[in-house]
Amino acid sequence: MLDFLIEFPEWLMFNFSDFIDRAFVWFRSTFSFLFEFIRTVLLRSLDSVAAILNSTPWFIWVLAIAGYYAIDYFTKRKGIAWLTVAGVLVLWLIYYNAILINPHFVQMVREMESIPWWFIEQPRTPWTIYIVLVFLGAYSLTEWKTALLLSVLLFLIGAFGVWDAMVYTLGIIVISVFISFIIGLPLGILMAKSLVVEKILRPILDLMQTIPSFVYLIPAVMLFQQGRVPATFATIIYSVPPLIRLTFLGIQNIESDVVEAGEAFGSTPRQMLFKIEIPQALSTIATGLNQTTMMAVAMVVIASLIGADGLGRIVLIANRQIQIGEGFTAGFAIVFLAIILDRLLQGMANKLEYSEAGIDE
Amino acid sequence: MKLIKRLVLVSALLTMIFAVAACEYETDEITLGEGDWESNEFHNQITRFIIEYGYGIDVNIDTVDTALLVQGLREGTIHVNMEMWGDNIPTFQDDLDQGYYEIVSVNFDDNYQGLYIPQYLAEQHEGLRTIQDLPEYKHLFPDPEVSNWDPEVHQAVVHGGPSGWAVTNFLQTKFENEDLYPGLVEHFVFRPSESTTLLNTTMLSAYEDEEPWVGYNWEPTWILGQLDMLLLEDEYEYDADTGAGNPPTQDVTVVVTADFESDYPEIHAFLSNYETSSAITADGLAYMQTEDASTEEAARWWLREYEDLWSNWVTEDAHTAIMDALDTYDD
Repeated sequence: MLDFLIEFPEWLMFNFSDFIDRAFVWFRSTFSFLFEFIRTVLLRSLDSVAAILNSTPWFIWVLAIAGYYAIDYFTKRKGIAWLTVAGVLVLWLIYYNAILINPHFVQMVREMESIPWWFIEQPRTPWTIYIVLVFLGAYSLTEWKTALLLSVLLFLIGAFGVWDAMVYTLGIIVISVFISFIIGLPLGILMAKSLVVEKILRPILDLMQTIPSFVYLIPAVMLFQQGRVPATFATIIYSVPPLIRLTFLGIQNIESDVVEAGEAFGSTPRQMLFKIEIPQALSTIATGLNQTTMMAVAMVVIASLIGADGLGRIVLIANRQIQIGEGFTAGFAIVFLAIILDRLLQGMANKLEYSEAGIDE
Repeated sequence: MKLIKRLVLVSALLTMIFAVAACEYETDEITLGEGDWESNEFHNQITRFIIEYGYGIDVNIDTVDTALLVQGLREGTIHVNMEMWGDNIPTFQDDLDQGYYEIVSVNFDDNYQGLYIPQYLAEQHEGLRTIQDLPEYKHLFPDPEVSNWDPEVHQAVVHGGPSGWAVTNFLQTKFENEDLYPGLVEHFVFRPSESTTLLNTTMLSAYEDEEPWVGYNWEPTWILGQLDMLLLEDEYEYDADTGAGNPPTQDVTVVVTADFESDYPEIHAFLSNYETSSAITADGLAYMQTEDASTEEAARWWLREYEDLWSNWVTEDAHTAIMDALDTYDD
């Protein structure tokens, strides 16, 4: 009689999966232009980062570093120094994209023998540059011991023989974190400003963090085809929530007297946001960025299931063939990469915290 | 202090509860290994039904990756594999020689594998029938990893199975053999998919959009039963070392661990008779797709449908018991 209270009865079930199937098919065909657009943009950005990481010759890096220190020394303005670095790299990227990998141009140069060979030579970033960069970065953010340790860890990744895979993985991480930042920061601010947005976003963030990533890996392939693009997409889904949450937290937890002081001086909402709230919350946001990066590193392994190359794929294949040593080697390389990124970003967060507290060097 | 005392007490209690709960009774059950493809699931469900109802022994199914499955067979944690694709497992012959496990029967041997294209693509392009024709139709198969793909400059993509499979290595050799396949080496990149799900997803999404696709697959699978795909021929004869030709049909065997025969003589006798074919398997898989049935339902359907076949595999008593058990399900 009351069996239906014990075993779940069939007449109370409805076909949810069928509904999702149909919704997905509709979604995919209706917005195919959008997915194609996102795919192209992501692929382009991934290619650009890969070009910077893989094919930037040493003298560009030396120019960038020297430019940074020179401008920092003469003008004492960090912002302009960083702009210089970005400018050098972007100029290089334009040259690389427009000339070096442009088949028509390469063909043209080959035919005109007056132009020297190195003009179109495919350059390669030397691994030593990375070690120098990590050392300099860590030295300026923390102390020399940490800087030395991080350089050694990076060296070990190369010594393990997984350097190229590491650089590939790093490319996906960089793009994922960058896009997470672009999405996460405004959403976090919106969430702190509006109760409605907060109410809507909270469950969505919970969903993103708890739903098993295997569930959306395959749909990602159906939307973006196989390879780095769905891998990046899946990584972003997994890694953006902490940044949003911590941005939200950072802005919410600003001491009220600071805000009141701002109000008393008659600041407009825009001034309030850019001159008071964001600077005050910077170190929390940096911590969020750190968390996001760690999540991205963790996700990159799983993303290799949908065709992303790199360290994750080595782990996957090693596991399939029960090559324990190989798997652990790549696993340790991932750990080292995570430690390096973590310490650098944490150094940044600490530095921002000091400058917030007014202890400017 | 009080808090600490309480904490210690609670954790001690919890430990005791877990210790009691963790008591395990030794059970007598047979473990079947299972790969992540459907025909394997399907055969396992048939076998499970026959063993559980016909012989009254519990069956446990362990879904693991192929390499782990082989490892399990070696160590005896997995007793039976109903679908051993010996040619795809590098250590297979070695393991047999070492006596880790033994072949008791050939499940089926009329399977095909190789590079497939959708039938609609074959109809649009009459000239595309062999692997040698591929370079001419390169422009159909752009690489999703390259933005602004241009057939003049970039390589086209052929999708492969998971790396580590012997057939993946074979195809990789083919795509590196410049003497026999200069066109393939120059114009194509062979890209392994790290899971069969990924491989099938790229195939299915291309198929749904009626777009060109070329890549590895094998029969019998539900996906090849459901989609209309065409196996590309190869002008050369098969040679494992040079990557020439299409892989020949291979024996997909039933293997059991070394001491299985002494432990379960009756089951061993049943498994020794287990012989089906690709077509019979595909029948069951197609039923699953068209009726939206689970593998268990498909297995029961199959047992009803093919009673004449399997009744020869089992003892008289087991036969009656299985038929009785089938009657209790109303599907």
